[in-house]
Amino acid sequence: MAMDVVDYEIFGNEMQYVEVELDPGEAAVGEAGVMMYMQDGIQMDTIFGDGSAQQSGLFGKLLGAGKRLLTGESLFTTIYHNEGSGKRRVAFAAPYPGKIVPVDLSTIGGTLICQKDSFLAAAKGVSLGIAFQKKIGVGLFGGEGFIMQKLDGDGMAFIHAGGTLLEKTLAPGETLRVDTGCVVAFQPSVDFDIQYAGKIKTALFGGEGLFFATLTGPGKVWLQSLPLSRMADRIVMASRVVQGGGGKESTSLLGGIGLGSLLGDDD
Amino acid sequence: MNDAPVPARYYPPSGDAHGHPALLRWEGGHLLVAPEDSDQLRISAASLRAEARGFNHSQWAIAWPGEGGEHLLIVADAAIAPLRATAPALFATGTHAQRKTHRRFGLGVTALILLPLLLIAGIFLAVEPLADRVVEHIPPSIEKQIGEAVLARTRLDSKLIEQGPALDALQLIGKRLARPGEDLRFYLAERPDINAFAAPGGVVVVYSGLMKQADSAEDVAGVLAHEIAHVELRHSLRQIVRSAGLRVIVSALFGDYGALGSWGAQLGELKFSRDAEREADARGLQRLAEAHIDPQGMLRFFETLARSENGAAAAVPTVFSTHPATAERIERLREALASHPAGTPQPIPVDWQAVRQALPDTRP
Ligand SMILES: [Zn+2]
Repeated sequence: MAMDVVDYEIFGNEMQYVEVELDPGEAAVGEAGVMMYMQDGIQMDTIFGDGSAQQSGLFGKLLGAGKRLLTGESLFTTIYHNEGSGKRRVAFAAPYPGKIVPVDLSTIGGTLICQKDSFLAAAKGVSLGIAFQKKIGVGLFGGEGFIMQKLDGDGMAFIHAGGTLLEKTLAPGETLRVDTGCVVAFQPSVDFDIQYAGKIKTALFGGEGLFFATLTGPGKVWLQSLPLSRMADRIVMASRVVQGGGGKESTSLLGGIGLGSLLGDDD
Repeated sequence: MNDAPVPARYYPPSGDAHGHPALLRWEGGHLLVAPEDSDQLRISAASLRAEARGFNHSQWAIAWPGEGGEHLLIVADAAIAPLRATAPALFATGTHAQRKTHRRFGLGVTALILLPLLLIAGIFLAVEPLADRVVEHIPPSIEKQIGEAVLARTRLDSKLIEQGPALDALQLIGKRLARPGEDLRFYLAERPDINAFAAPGGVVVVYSGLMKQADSAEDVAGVLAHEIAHVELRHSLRQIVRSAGLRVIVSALFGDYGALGSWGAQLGELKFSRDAEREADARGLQRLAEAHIDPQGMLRFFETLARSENGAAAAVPTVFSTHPATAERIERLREALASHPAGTPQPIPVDWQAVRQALPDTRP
């Protein structure tokens, strides 16, 4: 098939950005704060919801808004549409070192479940839903695996994986056990479950959580070697060491006022 | 019959992990599987198994045994309707599992939302009984500390009158009110407010404004008897603990009463329940009777204050702002006095006019 030569192009090695080419009238949806540049003729618009057909009704919009509020996401999405007469480009940049993964939703059955921080951009019409893992165990112990983003449609979507990307297709029944933070995305046919690591000792002294995710095929999974949370932890830890104990701690919860402060202050 | 083909992904037993796009439809008790890139398969419905799986059970796995192992089809829940319409029994178990997942999730989320709310409600309900328990266990040494704290605070806020006829009169009244072996200490603060309060640990503070306003030593004795009764009945402690809240209660349960002391400083502003006031009135009358002090003084003083309160609205706080002299309360006092005539009272030998003149003029 020799149709459009270039619809998108990914630049860079460890700090990538993706350039998306829009035909006149075409549009892309981007997560807030990831746009890098756009050519003349591209208009930016902030809309309520995600601009997909699934959220067209008032109720659908409200439901979507409620979910987004609940999960701490922005109520609005930004749409970039080409108002010019020729092809125009807009670029979205990865927020931290890693790889940008282009996913053609039409080739994977129309639905992709991804971690909510990893979504970068998509063709307009792709619905950006919030999907809770409907397993309370995941909610309680899975941490990052609980609130996912569900991309529906048949266009391109771009997600971001921290560090190095592992793209793996699981055969029927094939199982992979991963740290929940390392799961970037998976097809809905993949079973996602939370498993107890089994050994308290491992949990206490191994440094990782008590629980990990089990992914069972068939279906494709995308894993990242560097979850943002892991990097953030290290940075916070390092900054504490540099500061030398973190400075003055606040007074204890219980020891606030006593006789001393009574005599010292005057209402 | 619905013959629109259903899109699926087909995984043959020995095939690769990727699977192959395929279209499905029923044909007379058989499922026709048409993979995009291989020959069509025809499987008897009897050999099929179906279960809901994948993310939130949003996918269907349809499997059947073959020569090299198991064949598998994955169909999205959104597309399954035509297949299910023809063979509902095949999908019954999976549908049940789907419903269970959704229901469980709903219950779980409800519980997660309700649990903290219930916890908070429980804590609020438990504050009063907890406060009472803490109060039961406060040792006398802590009461003493609270008393000292209140005294220290009073010294900060106002000048204590250290000598003179007014202080002498107060000490005299105090000596009469104290029971044998009871350690009550009376202090006179130079303040225009018509106020007095007793703190745990036997500290009683009277404002000069109250003595200036009272008509006799018996009046003052009546008010003080009432205030001391609040301490005796541990009303003050209970109010301190209740108003101080959970933090103080928790630290007190662990033996740290320090925070209580600072709250004790607000003793002059404590409000008591109507029941507590009634109790304190009764207990106060009892003390007056024991001390052979004319109990009419208590009633008289409250009546005087009730009148002056109604008249010129006093700009300064009075004992009445925290111990309201309701008509009902005065009436009950009057009845109590009528039904229990208090023997022959021995007057408190004080030249009250001299006491009042010795006090600084408080009315601006
Ligand atoms: Zn009272």
